[in-house]
Amino acid sequence: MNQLALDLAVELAERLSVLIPMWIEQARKAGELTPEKEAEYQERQKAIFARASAQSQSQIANG
Amino acid sequence: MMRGNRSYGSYVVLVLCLCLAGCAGRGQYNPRTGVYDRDAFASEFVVTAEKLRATALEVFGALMEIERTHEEEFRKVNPGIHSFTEDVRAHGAEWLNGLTAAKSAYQAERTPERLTALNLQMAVVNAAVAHANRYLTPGGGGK
Repeated sequence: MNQLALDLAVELAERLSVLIPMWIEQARKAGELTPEKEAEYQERQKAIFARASAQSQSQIANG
Repeated sequence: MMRGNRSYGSYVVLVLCLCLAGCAGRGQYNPRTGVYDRDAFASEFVVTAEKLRATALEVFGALMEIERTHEEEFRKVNPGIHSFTEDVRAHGAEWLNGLTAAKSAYQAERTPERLTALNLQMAVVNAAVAHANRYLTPGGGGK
């Protein structure tokens, strides 16, 4: 991994160290997902695995 | 390099803590009746399962994409990365669907037996996330 990627990873980790305590606080207040949010999650899951499958198909086609 | 690994290690630990924090607010859903009760206390197990599932989806997505983009380089570093990522491609959706099914079953009827089944599915997904995170650290060796 090159230096640029490593620097980006470190910067990301530093930003997350600020964001994560905020997320934990939000999690304490969280309720169960509403049906609408559950449907949004299911759509995202479908999209992510469909994209992965398409990448695999295109790699097979390219050889 | 050490600094990067340590920072990423902290990130992974903190994300897992977030998943396992177990604190929850109000809002309870019953998929069998379709009723969402905004005043009822949420189950910390359901909230934890939903957060773990969302985290797992993002981690699996990142792993599948990064591994596909850098497959040749990763194979040289550790062939295990490819075989695990192929496992995620083949079974990741099943693992997440298993967790969703166990969560919905528990939400429909909150019995100790269904909670045990939910915990089992959370353990399956949690193990896969922990495995994937080993490969997403700088260096990507998973060693």
